Amino acid sequence: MKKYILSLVLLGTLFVSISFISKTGSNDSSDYQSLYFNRVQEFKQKQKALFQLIDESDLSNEMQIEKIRGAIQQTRVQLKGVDFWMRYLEPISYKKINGPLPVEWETEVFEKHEAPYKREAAGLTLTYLYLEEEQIDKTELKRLIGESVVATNAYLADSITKHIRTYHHFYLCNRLYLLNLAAIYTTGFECPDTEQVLPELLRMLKDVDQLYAAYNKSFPETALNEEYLSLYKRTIEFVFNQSNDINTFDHFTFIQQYINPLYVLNQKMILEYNVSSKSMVDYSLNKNSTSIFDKDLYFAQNPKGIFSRVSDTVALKEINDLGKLLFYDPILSGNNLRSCASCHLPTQYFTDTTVQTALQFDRLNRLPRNTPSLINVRLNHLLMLDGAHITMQNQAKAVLINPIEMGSTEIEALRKVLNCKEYNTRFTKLLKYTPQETQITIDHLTSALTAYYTKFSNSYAPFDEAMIQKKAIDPVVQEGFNLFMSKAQCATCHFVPQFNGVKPPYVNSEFEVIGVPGDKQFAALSADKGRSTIYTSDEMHHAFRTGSIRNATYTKPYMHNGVFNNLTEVIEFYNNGGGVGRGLTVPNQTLSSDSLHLTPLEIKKIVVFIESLNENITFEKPPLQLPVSKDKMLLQRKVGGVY
Amino acid sequence: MYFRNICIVIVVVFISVLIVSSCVSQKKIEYVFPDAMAKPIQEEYYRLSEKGRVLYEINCASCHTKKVKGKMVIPDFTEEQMGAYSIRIANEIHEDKVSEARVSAEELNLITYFFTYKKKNKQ
Ligand code: HEC
Repeated sequence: MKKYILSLVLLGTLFVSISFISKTGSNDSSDYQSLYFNRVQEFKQKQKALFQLIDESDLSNEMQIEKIRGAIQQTRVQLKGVDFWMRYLEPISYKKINGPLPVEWETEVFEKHEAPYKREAAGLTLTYLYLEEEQIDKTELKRLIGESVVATNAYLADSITKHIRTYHHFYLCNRLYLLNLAAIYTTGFECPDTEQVLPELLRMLKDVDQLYAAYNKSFPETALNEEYLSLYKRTIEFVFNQSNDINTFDHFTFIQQYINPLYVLNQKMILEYNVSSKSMVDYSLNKNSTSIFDKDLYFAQNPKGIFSRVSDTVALKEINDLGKLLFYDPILSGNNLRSCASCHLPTQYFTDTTVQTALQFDRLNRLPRNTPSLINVRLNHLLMLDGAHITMQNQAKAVLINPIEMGSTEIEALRKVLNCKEYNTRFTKLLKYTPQETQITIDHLTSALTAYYTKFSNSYAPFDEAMIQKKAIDPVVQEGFNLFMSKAQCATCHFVPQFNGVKPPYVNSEFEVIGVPGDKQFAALSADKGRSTIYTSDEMHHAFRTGSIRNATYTKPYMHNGVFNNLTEVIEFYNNGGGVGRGLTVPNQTLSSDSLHLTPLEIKKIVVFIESLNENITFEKPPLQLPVSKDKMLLQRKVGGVY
Repeated sequence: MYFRNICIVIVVVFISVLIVSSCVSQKKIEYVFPDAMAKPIQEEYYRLSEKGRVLYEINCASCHTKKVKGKMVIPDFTEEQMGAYSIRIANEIHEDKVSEARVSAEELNLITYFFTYKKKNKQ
């Protein structure tokens, strides 16, 4: 009897302590946890079986290769059950399991602190692509799968599995999952066989549905709410009722009616449950964004620079006004004849639509690259087409001192500016907002400049409004968007929602090699080496940072060298398979050289979609006059400069 | 007349107490630079470290400067603890307070200089 009482007491204490633990956040998550472990193990078994099959196969036999393809497909499907976790919990290992490219240069936001390094991927997508090669080497094939088996082990290590025991990771995994649903899962970005895109999508949606159920059972206090779950069920129905052809899938409705509203609900729960992150994956994402199409979905640049912590509205207005004066003031150039506004015309979306490339400082030669628009620059992690700069302020400094652009020096520019009494007193008054600085520096000037021009990057386009407010949109826009996301393959590089090269989790800016010619006759590849002028590597020869297509209607001419004059020419270029498609030799082109088979009508529709991305920006008139200087020479300055 | 003199004395004493006390509370931070470092470079790092100190006071001190035996003590964070960008996600509070939007990468660098060259606290 005593024994029974003792064990009852023991049991009781056990229960009490378990319930105590659950109150402190680490729930009894056995259901959810066992689902995780089971799925990772199952996936590993499939990978191992695939490895075995490759080992035993005769690679000269097409039937056996076909069998391998089938096994890869089965393994991919199995991956869908764990993808939700894997991508978030350990993105580096994930690249070995299902990397999209054989070699990637990590050009991430972390480049702000580290030089980029080469990362060789492995896994299912690459194995599948490798099977298409004429000569298949078994050792290489085994390496591609073998490495992915090893990488999977990372997900069983304690350092990763400890996250599964609390609820925090769940909402962050889910956020990434939803963003990927909007940006890449439906575009074929990681699925070489386009026929499999939708079946795989459906499978993943259902696998995650089960995962949700297990999660809610294990974490009832921080459960997904009913509204979310019912919308999620309807999302699955929506996909189920679509045809299996990716080219007729309604991407627009999928994102507008389902994925974006799910994202909104998930964001609310992140705040409600005080979800906190300890992962680099969340480095740039903003917990307070209220839509995927929120301009503050992620943080890439600090437009206010040295004034970043200023929140006083009067001071902010003053910074903005000073920035505007400087933007139009040729005092920043070596000869006092050129301002920022000389090339970035504020009346032309802060670019110059009248020339292919701008004049050099010498007024004779032309610059090698087209002037980019300054709108939405703040949404790039790396700036310039070659990614030379990581902050907007450094970029501004570089133009100032570039002998073929503005031809000044930091010291000269600062001296001349401070010689104007008005600038001097007004900047001095702002000094109290930068207590770390005892005097006005060039950074005060460049920070005012970037704060000023970034003001025009906060506007939304009709397409955003349709998405955010679930408003109807011109059916042609919708068709154009659907083409953009599927047949035309645009969205495999221009990612939702900014349609630039920044994809979920929005921590890096991507570079691509598309083979832009030096002239319209396609006589030769453009001589510009692009990214490889910054970091030498074969892969990066002629690579350029993917730009946004927002406001593109108004920012001609196009491409790094301004070679194309209208959007139809640009889309034709892609339709023909880029440079390689037009007979140029570009061994590292990252764009498929096959024709997209777009009809002229389809091209027209894509152009109409791009037009729906024109933002409702209110532009301003130039300042009437510039601050006077003690220096007589400087009294001649013209607002905006003369060339 | 006598009264006026007293008033002046009181005011002068008051002001000097104010000045002295502010000097005491703003005890100058001492820096230690490696002997091998050339003087001009030391001066440059001194300048950068001082910027870092101010940035530390603005962004970090409210949580990290703690009263120990009546004195305000700035911790001795190592370069490794500062760990470049990883510090942003070191804990839940940092996720918000040390986000990129609040403290830029350059500023974190300056704060790291401050910790690198600041004279370490007595154990
Ligand atoms: C709102 C409060 C808060 C602010 C502001 C803050 N921190 Fe922290 N910091 C914390 C807390 C809490 C910890 C975790 C302490 C612990 O785990 O014991 C921490 C930990 C750290 C650590 C890790 C120490 C270790 O044990 O490795 C470093 C380094 C650090 N902070 C530096 C900074 C710097 C630099 C800033 C300013 C840019 C800053 N913190 C701003 C609250 C804050």
